Amino acid sequence: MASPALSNNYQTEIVAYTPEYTAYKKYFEDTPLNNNDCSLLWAKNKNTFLYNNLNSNLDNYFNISSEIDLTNQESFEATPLPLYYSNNFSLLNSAFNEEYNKYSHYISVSKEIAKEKFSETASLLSELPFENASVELTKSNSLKYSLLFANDKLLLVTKPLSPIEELYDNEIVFSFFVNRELLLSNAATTSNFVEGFKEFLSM
Amino acid sequence: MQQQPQTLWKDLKNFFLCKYLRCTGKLSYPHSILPKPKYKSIINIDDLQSHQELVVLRRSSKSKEESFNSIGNLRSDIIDEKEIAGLSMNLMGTFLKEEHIVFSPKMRTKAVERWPGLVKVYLSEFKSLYNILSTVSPIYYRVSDLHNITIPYKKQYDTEIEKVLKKLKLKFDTDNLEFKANGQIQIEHAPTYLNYWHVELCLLDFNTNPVRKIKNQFHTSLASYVLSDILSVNGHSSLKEPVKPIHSCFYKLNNRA
Repeated sequence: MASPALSNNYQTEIVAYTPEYTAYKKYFEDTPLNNNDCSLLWAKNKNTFLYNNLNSNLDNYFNISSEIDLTNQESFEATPLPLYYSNNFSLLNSAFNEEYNKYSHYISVSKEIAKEKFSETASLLSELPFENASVELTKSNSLKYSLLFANDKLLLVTKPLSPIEELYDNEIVFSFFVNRELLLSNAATTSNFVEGFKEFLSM
Repeated sequence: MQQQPQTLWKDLKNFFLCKYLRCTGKLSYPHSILPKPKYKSIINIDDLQSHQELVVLRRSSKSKEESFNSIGNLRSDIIDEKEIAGLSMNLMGTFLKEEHIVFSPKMRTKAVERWPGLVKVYLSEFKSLYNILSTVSPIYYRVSDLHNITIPYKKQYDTEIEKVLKKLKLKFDTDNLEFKANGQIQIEHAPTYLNYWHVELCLLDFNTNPVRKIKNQFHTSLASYVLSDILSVNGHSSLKEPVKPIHSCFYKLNNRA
């Protein structure tokens, strides 16, 4: 079933969905699209939309893929998703579901909003090569991701579930520990942070 | 030194009353962790820490499984944001043991008031001023992980951080309102009538003034996220090695090593 927001006029201009899909979901629903809005990264493996396998709630949106003209894909620069992406997202998704079942009373937003905010961040964090992870709902109405990397590197990412004064909607707060010692903490745009952190880890 | 008859009488009364209460199961609070007149009113944590590795113990009111997440970090719901400034913990290495965390002095009673030093505590007077908790689990912290730690929104640059920042393409902007506060965490000895080994996590602002409420004085939720992260990552469910005993010269008056 296609999203009602995606009229035929725009279908040929959309080349693919990306890991940032959920971040644009609301926008797709509310706003007519143009090329600039869709200047997204996309997987080289154009026939595989990873989310289809990861989250049945998003099936409706990815069914759109059958209506999308994929012929112009080669003109866009492709950024392949890492092989572990699917496993990482699954791990975070399971952790979120388990957490939500136990601690949904901590937060003051609906499950849909919590899930959407979770997916926005998790879809990007899944690009990082973590070895283990947990997701927590906090009493301060936020999501906390704990990602454990090789060599005792630990990344904690907090994403508020509702707007707070100090952060833009696309920002997170992170704390980075090496051997349990805090090395750096700051606020950053999620996508920029993930790109930079990937680069740092590959050093 | 000869005791005054009145003091002697009070001592004897307390001794026999405690014996009776313990025999009848009405008193189980450990006498060993009470302040003694021969103790210093304040232990200097800096001095002590420069001498040895210290461990503090905090109680979680949930089971171990509910207190720690799947990667072994303390869950953020175990320590409430409002509790962080002045967070209660207990200094280990002397008489305070893990089994003592079930004893919870009642809030807003004399039991949790600061012990002023030199005063003798008569446990029989406190027999109804504590609770015994049924579900608790220990959280251990190394003092070096919490003491004199700068809240890193004004962390000093060094080569390692520069390297990370460069790769992350981040500018560490100290003028940025979100990270303007130059806070610090410290562990301070804060003995109470019922627990000489009680310590608190103190937050200091850029002027080294104590911070009572993070949001009010740091003007940001971000500081509380970072503090919560530090407490989460450094909290341990068990000890890898036994706690090193603290020499009595650090807590007894006129006692030299």
